[in-house]
Amino acid sequence: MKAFTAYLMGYKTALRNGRMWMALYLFNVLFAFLSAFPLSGFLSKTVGQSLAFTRSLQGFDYTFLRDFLREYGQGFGQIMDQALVYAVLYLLLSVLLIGGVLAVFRRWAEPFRWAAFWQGCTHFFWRMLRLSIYFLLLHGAVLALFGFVFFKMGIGSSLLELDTEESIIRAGRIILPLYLLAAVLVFMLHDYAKIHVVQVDQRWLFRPIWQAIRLVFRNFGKVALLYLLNVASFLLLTGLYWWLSGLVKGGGIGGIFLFGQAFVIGRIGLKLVNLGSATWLYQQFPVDSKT
Amino acid sequence: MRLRFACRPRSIPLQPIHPYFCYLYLLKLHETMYLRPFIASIIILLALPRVFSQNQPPSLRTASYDMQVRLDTAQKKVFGNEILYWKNPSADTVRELQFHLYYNAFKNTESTFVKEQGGFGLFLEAMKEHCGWSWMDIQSMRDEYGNDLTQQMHFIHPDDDNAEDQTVLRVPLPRPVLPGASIRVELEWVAKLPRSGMRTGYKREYYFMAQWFPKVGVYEPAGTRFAEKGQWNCHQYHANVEYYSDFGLYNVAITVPKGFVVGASGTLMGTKEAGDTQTWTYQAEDVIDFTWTASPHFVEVKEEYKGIQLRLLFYPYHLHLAPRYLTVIHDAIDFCAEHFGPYPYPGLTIVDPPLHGTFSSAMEYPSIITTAAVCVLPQGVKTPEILIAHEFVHQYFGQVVATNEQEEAWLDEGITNYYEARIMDEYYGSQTSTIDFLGFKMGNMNSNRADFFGLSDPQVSEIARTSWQFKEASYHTITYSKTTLLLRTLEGMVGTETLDEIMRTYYERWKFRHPGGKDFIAVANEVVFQKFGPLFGENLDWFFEQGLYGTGMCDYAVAAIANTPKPDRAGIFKGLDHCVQPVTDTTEEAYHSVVTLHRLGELRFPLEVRIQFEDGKTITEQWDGKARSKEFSYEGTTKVVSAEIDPEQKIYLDKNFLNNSLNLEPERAGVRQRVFQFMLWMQQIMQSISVFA
Ligand SMILES: [Zn+2]
Repeated sequence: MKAFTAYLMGYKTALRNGRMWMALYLFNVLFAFLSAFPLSGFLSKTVGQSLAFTRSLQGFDYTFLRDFLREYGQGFGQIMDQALVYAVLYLLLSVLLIGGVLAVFRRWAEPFRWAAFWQGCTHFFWRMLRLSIYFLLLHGAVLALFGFVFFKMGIGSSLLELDTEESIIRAGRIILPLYLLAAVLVFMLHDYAKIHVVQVDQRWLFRPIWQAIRLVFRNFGKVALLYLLNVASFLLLTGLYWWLSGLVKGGGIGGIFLFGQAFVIGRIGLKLVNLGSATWLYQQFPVDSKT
Repeated sequence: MRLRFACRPRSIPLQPIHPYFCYLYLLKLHETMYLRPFIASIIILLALPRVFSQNQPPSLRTASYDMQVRLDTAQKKVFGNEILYWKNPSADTVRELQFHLYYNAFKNTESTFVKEQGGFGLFLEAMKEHCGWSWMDIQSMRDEYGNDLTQQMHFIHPDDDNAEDQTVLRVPLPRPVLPGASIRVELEWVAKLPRSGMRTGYKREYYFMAQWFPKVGVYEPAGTRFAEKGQWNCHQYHANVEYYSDFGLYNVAITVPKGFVVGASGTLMGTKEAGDTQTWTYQAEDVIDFTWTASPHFVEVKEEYKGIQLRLLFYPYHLHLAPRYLTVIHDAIDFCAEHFGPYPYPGLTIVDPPLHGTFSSAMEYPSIITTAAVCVLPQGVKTPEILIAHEFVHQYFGQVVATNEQEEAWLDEGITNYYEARIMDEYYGSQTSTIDFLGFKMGNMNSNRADFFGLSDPQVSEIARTSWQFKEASYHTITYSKTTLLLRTLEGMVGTETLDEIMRTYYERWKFRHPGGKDFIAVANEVVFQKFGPLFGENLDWFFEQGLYGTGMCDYAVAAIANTPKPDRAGIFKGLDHCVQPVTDTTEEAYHSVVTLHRLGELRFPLEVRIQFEDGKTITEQWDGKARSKEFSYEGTTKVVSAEIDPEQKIYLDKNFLNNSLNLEPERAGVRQRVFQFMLWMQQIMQSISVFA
């Protein structure tokens, strides 16, 4: 039952901190806008006056795309590179903001204060960054491990020596769900490590990471159930978006864009729900289980 | 659609032996006798009065074979007894025979094939590792007069100075073959099969036997293709190159272990079991080659479609793909029958190789073709459909119109590729016929254009080039895709109907013969002139010279649109003392509009140019496309708002469609739309990667 209560508390926490929610969204808009803005001038200058461009707006136009990439690929590539830089910067920004979010959630019953948020951001930034790097490495290791097992199981020594492709599919059917479970587990551990670091506020990281991992495994049922609820909420929202986006297509780009914004706001909200509910659940565990 | 599934071949009713086959058989039996003409006449008169009235073979049957072959699966060898009946098609006295021994291409690392391939990658590595080298050894060869030809035979290398290449065998004849006469040669040979060689060989229990027997070259009489005098055309086995051979009648008895299912060119005449083997007897009439496959794991799907016996051979885990294969083969049969003529053979076998048999995929042989697929293949990924359509068109262009793929590959690969695109685009949609998956759409004709212009240097070679001289990796793209674009451009110029008429005439005129590029061009010139007179000039040589024999690019562009207000008429005109003052009270402004077009590439084609005016009026201008720059001027009360060269994209060889048009006003709403879309994607991507924070 605690997991369900935590899940509901997550919503409550997210809604109580609506200003923070909006701030996260505006950062997302700002970075995406910065990355997309150069495209406007570029398209106007290159193909804005071509009738081929006007026709290509009707849907996916492979011929236009290939001509465009061939003729203007270099300039477009620069815009894409720039967008990649913005994406990496956004990731770093997210690392910065997560400390603030968790600092605010630590005292979830208190009213939201910007000062507490920004203080949390700066106070925990380096620790959050190191945590992200460690868990990225862990993700990489998990992917490599499952990739290796998949290759050995499905392909063996060489694709050309394979009897049938059935073994690849069979291996995929087994390995892919296992990998997804493992990846979800790593995400979950990462979440609780972040929460634990913010709660105990220790300088060194390895001890809190180890404590967080132990905490998760000691309370695995509740933690996993809560995570499942949050993952299911995300899948539901995404499914709804895909289903409804077909219906809003008639509303033109304005309609699609606004609907897309609603989805992004929803995604950010669910991220807050996830962290808020996990923080609440964490706080319900007895103190001795956290050390 | 009615499907029949069976794990073993169903009992196929033995078909009565074709009467013409009886005649030939008896004729051959008695060929050595001096009474041959007399006996043959008696047979014809007494037994088969209808043979020549109704069953005149469509080809000359220059090279016919009777073969008994045994597959030894333990040794990975084929043991063959072969009788070649070769007819001299020329007015020359022929003093030698030349044979292709293709399997020697995989004999060692020194063959021309392996050297040109640069080692053919993983296949060669696997050959080295498993000692999967192959060879063909002729143990005896005798002519019909009892002369032993074995001692005199020797390898030649007509194309290069590679003395170690053993893919062409020269056999001097003690008794030459006189003009129009025939010779019978008996061979005994053993072939060691390559372990997944190029297009042929074995892997595990899958056997695909292409270019597997000593096959006589083509003797080209003077006037044939490039031949100025009678000559053997028998090239070595080269890396890029496929095949060229003569028409004939094949009777082949294939002995395999019991339990194997065999598929082959021609018609199955019967099967016979003996001990632990089974012999499958096939007959293929008027074909240029004979190919077969065998595996104990084949599952069969059989269907008759419009009188054609279709036989699909699958490994069991691909069986669910059968409806897709049947759909496309029906479409291809219908399309080709309508555009060229009825399919000329009684049956067609489609082989879907297992993954370990990929070496044999995507190939065409007389009435047997191979495709490629994997068991999980989304409907929107049309790879097997494309391959089946392609290889089926080859039955017409390549097999029946038997061009020389070694010297003029574009004639069969290019034409086939063009019609593959036509078939796919017609039946699967012009924007979706290659891929229609997860929102990504690609049409077949479109993909050819993208492939060709996507080459790092599309000007590296002309189309009309001997295949093995394409040293660059661009052989495939230039031969297949550029020819496709060239034919699509011709279609744009003369219309689809005329292009199809060219092909129909070309097919009808050259079926069961060996035309060359010049013969195709002659047909095109003839049909186009008949239809249009001198509209495109005296002939289309200018078109083919640019497209086939040249490497120039085509790029037309609208350079500028200028609308200048026309100044009011003023100044001194008649009478030096009378000055005309500008009229200032006109309510309507007049414009002098100029549309400037550029020819940026070297190729020149006649074009249409569509000019759109502000008041909605549209004018279509004709431009011969020759000058580097061209202006169209207009005067009136309305401005030109846009201009477009070749609005229907008839000139498909144009490398850049983006600059073919110019809109005076930029498409601001469209730019906004794309920017918003991009921004939305970036928002989603950024939010997704933030999970790692
Ligand atoms: Zn082909």
